[in-house]
Amino acid sequence: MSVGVQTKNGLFRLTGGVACIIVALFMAIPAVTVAVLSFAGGTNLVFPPTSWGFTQYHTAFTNGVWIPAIYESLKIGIPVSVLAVAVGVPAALALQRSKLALSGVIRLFGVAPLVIPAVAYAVAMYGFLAEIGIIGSYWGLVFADCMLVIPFVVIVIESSLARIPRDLELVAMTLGASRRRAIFGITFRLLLPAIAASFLLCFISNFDEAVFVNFLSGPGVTTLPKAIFNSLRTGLDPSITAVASILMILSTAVVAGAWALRSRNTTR
Amino acid sequence: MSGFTGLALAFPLIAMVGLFLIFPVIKLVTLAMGAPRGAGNFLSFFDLTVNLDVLRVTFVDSAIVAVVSVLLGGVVAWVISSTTHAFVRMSLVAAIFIPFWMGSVVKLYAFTVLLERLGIVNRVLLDLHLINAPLDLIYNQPAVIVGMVYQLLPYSVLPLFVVFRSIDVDLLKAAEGLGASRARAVRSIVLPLGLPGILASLTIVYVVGLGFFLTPVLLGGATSPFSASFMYDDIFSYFNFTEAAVSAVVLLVGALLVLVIASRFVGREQLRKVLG
Repeated sequence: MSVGVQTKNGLFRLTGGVACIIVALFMAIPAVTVAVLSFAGGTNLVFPPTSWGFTQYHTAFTNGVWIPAIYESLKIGIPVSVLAVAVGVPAALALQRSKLALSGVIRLFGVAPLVIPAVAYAVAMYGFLAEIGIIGSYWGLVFADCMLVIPFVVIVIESSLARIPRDLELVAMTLGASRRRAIFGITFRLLLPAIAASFLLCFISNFDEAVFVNFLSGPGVTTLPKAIFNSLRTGLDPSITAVASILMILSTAVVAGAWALRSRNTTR
Repeated sequence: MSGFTGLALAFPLIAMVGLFLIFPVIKLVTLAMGAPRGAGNFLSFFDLTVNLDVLRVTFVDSAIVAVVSVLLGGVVAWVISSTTHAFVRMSLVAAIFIPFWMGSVVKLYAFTVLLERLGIVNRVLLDLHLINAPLDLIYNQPAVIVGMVYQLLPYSVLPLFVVFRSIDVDLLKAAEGLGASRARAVRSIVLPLGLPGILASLTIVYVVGLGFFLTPVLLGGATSPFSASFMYDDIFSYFNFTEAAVSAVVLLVGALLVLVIASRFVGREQLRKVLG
């Protein structure tokens, strides 16, 4: 290699390295700030904190704002994810394994909520739910939120199904299994980790949903993101830092779990 | 499975999509074109300079966000996929994806704490005597752009990583063996081969950015001219749903145009791949 090429390569590596360090710092600093502030002692947001302790964690668990909000989020998130899986898994099965007419169009609409500008969709949903008279109701929000997470189920399950060889079903049937037995005994069982993964993805994504809940729910339904949003509009409550730190750790664990489940039947 | 069983299995999805996606959008369009002035609602919308400003800001700022996210995300994705140091890869992945799951509202909280008038950044700069008076770092458009990049960067790293990983490393080695520098090899091999994926990521990040609501409201402040805050105020402060519906239709059509043009260039399959 000539000296010119070597200097060029050095320069190229340097630029890439510097860019990566800047991006990593940019991403990490806000998160680290929140984590550090969560161990601050006082009720004022000073950085670096003048005293340390678990005050924020104590307040977060006892001030009666965050615990009910988390409960509300679970009350929405679990039915939303169950419904999304119940609707999305059979649909993905049909899209991958049957001679369904117009499957391209169905798939397109199934994943469309991911790319529709969220706020425009929220306005449309508001008009629709107001029209049928369930605006601000619990089930209205559950069905609306469900639409936002169905794409995850369709995508995850379809890509998993594509990796489960169809021949396995045929082998089972050659060995005397009925069609139903072949589908449930083989394909469905191999699909279980992916179903669990898509459920987790739906749940974690819905747990963070803040646009629909602001447009579609009345004052009665205050999920965790909405509670944080409300408190941000009125002022900076330092106990948010404790909630955020716990969320960061839990969500990372859940997502890592979902990834592990998802890759389990792909490496096989 | 026969087409009939398939239809039965897909029916719940079709019903949900019809009821909660297609119908609401049709309803939105009819309301936007209904009282008081029919299709003239759109004419009066475009007659107001403030609406045009809002649209310009929304579409331009989201474009800046998309380009910056894909540019930075591309570099990071390339380093993650090409580095031989496991430590570098792991720390980049952690730095990008742990904050990603902090919660969207909490991210904005963090930025508020950092960028406020007496926030952390201003205090550090004052203590270091780099500035004499606090800078206005928040409640303006740059703050909105920074906040949006923060949230959308991971969305570009993930698909770009998949794109770069699918490129045969031997091609790069061959180019370098023939005397090309690393930069030249990347420019002549990785960029052309990855271009469809890069454009697809750009499109998706752009369209998602158009729909952002929380960031403009919280980091742009009361005066942030983003479509999202206007729609919210139209509904909840002025009780003028038609106006909000008109804005929403304009935003939807804009996003749809972007998607249609993009799929002409890179293909629908490519766009879908980026989502998975």
